Amino acid sequence: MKPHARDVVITGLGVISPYGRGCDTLWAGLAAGACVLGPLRLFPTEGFPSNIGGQVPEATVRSLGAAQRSRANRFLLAAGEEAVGQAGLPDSALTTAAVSIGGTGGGMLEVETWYQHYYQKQNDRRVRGALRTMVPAAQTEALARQFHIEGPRESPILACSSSAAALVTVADLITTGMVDVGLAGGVDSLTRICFMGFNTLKLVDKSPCRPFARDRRGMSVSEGAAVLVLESYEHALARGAQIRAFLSGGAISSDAFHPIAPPPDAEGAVRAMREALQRAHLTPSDIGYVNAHGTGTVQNDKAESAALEHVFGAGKVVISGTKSLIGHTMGAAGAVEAATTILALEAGLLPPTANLSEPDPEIPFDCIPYTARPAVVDHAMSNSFGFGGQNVSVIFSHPRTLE
Amino acid sequence: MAVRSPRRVVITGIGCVSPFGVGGAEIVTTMLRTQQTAIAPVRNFTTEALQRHLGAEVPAADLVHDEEGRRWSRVTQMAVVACRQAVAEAQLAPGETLHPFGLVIGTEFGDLRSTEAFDASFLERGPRGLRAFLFPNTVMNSMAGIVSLALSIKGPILTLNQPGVAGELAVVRALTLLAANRTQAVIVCGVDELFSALYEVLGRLQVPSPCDNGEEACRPFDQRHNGPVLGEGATALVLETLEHAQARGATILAEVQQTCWGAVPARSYRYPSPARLHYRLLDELLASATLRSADITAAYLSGSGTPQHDTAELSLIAKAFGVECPLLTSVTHLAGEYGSLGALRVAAASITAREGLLPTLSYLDRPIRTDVRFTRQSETSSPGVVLVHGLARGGVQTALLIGPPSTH
Repeated sequence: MKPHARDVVITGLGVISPYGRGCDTLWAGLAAGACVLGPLRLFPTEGFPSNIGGQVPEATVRSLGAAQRSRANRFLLAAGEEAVGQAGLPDSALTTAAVSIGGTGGGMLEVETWYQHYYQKQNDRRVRGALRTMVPAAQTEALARQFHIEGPRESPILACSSSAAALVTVADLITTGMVDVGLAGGVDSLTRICFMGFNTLKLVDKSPCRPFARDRRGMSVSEGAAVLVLESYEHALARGAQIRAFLSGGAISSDAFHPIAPPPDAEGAVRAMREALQRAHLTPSDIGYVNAHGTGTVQNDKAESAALEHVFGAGKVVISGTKSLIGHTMGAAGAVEAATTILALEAGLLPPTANLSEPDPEIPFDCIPYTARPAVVDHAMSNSFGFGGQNVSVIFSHPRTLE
Repeated sequence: MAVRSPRRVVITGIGCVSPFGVGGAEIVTTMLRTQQTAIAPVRNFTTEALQRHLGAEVPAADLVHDEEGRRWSRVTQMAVVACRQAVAEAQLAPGETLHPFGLVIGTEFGDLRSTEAFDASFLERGPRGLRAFLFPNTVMNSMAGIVSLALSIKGPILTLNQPGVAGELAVVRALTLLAANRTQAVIVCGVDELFSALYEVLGRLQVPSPCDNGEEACRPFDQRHNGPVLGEGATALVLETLEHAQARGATILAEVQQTCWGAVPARSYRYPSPARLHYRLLDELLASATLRSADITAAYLSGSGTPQHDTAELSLIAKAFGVECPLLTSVTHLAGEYGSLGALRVAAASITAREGLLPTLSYLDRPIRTDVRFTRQSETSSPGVVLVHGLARGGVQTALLIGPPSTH
C-alpha cells in the first residue's frame, strides 16, 4: 500500500527503563528475557505486603546529570535527547513541533519529601523547587524548553494509558495537517504514594509480577520514560529521515463502568482495539503481535484476554506481557511499550513474558513464555489501560509494508 | 498552530458550579449582569494563622445528594454537577445518547486534596492508617473517570494538566478530537478546587495577592496589581459539530469559530518576559479565521493580577491588534483565579457574543497600559466575535474566537 503524505511515521526513540539508559539497553534486556524486578531501595518499604518493583539503576540516574531537577524530569530529558538525536531533526522543525507527554505523578517524589517536613511543621527551603515540578505539566514544560519548542503543548493524564494517549494526540495533529512533527511520550518516577496506593489496594505481587500466569497475584510498580519522534511521512521523506515504523492507527475509549476495575467483557477495550484497526485499514488477521497491557492483576489480565478473544479470536494472535520484565512504569508504560513494539518489529523478535511457569488455562493465547521468539511481523498492536476505565490501543507497522 | 476543523463547531450547553451558584448559562449571565464579585473572606477553612484571607469559594454544602455521589471527593462532585448541568441545558439525557461523546477535563491541581489526605494518613499512622479509597483520586484523571461513569460517556476521554489555561486548552483539544473525526460531540470541563493546604502553600510561595506585602486585592491590569486572589469552580460546555447539533434540533448558544494553540518562550513556572515574546499565534488566528482585527468586538484575557502575567499578556494583545484593539475585559476579579478558569471565560464569551454583555473592571483606576481600551464602566458591545486569550506560566498560549449563533 502506498503511504499518504499525512501518514504518521516514527523517526526517533528514546527510553529510560529499569535496565538503564537507551533503546539499545532496553532491547538487550527484553530480547534476553531478563527480569529486572527486585527489592526497591528508593524509599523505605517496611510494613507493606510487597517491596518488589522496577527501579532505574542508580548509576544510570547519576549519569543523567542535572541533579537539581526532579527524578522524573531527568528521565524525560534523557529520553528526549536520545529520541531527538536519533531522528536528526533540525532546530527549525523542532520550533513548531507539538509536545505531548503523559504521566501520573509528575515530580511527586520530591514533593513527598517536602510534604513530610511540612506535615511535621519543619521549615523546608526546597519548597519552591519541589512545588514547581509537582504537576505532570512541569515535565512537559521542561522538555519543550530543552528543545526550544513553541508548538502545541499538553500533558494528558489517563492513568496508566497516559503516554499511549499522547501518541494518539500527536498523531491526530499530524494527520489533520496541524503540525508536521511532534514529540510524544511519557514519564513517571517511582513515588511513595504510588507504591503505597497499589499495596493498599492489594494489587501488587510479593514476587516479580506474572502476567497471564495461573498463580498471578498482582503487578510490580516501576519507573521510566520514553519519547518518540513522530512526523508526517512527507516531512520525513523530504529530509531523508530513517523511518523506523508507521503509526498506522490509534484509538481512545472509555469503559464508563467502574473507577478502577474493567468490565468483565472489556467492552471498552474491544472498542479501542477495533477502532485502531479500522483507522489503520487493517483486519485482526493482519496483526502479528500484541504487546499486551498485562499488569499481572487477576482481573485486568482476564479482562484483556476477553477483549483480545472478542477482537482476534481465541489463540489467533501472539501476545506478551513485558511488564513481567521491567514492571509497570505507570504513565510512561504506553510509550515504553510502544518503543518495545517498534523494536520488536525491527528486530523480527518478539519479547517474552517472564515468570510464566504455568500459564492461566483461561487465557487462550500464546504468551511467549520466558524466551524471545523470532518472527517476521508486519503490524503489531500495543494496548494500554488505566484507572478511570481509560483504554488506548495503538498499531505500528514495519516500513516495508507501506513503502 | 491553528486548529483546522473541517466542520463548524457550536456550543449547545453550559454548566456552572461557581461562587455565583450552580446552574446553566443563566448563572454566567447573572454574573455578567450583576457584576458582583465573589471574592470575600475565606469561609470553607480557617485562615486565622495565615497572611492572606480572601478567596472566591463555592459554598461548602454537598453538591451531589445521592448516596453514590457522597462518596466522591468535592472536586469530583463539582465536575460531575457542572457536566450534568451542561448536558441538561443541551437537552441531552445521560445514557446511550452520550455513549459516543468525548470528554475533556482541564485542571491544574486535580484532586490534590485527596493526595494530601492520602499521604497524611500514612504520616499519621503508618501503612495501617492508609485509606485505600483515596488512592485512585490521587491520579488526576479520577474526575474524568467518575464523570464518564455518571453520564455514561464512552468515547475518547482526556484529562489535561495545565497551569493557568487548562480551561481554554480543554476546549481547544475538544476541537482537535472533532477535527480528527474521533467523535461528533464533546463535553468539556474546567475544574479546580481551593483547599487549605494549597492556599497555605501558595501563600508561602508569595503567589497570591499581596505578593508585595501591600493590600490584599484582585486587580488585573491595574498599576496596583500584586497577585491573584485564589478561586475555585467548574464550568462545563457541550461542543458539537454543527451538523450534529442541527440533526438533533439543539439550541445553539454560540459558535467556536477558530482556535489557536502554541507556546511562547518562558522559564520554568514563570510568565514570559515581554522582551522574548513573539506574536505569531494571534496573527495566525486572525489569518486563519479570515477576520480583520476590527471584526473582534471584545476580548476576555487571562491576566491574573500577577504583574508579569498582566504585562506579558497586554504586550501580546497590543502588538497583535494595534490601534484596532478590541474592548478588553476579564472575569478574574469576579470569580478569582484558578488554573481552569478559562472554561468560564469561554462560557462568558459565548454570552457576550450573543448578547453583548460585558463585565466591568470597576477597580481599574490606573491601567498598566493606556494604548488599549478596557471595560472600565458599564458597557455592552454589539453582538459579534469575541476573543478568549490565555497565557500561562511556562508559556503555553491559547486563543479562541467565539461567535454568535446567528450566522448559521
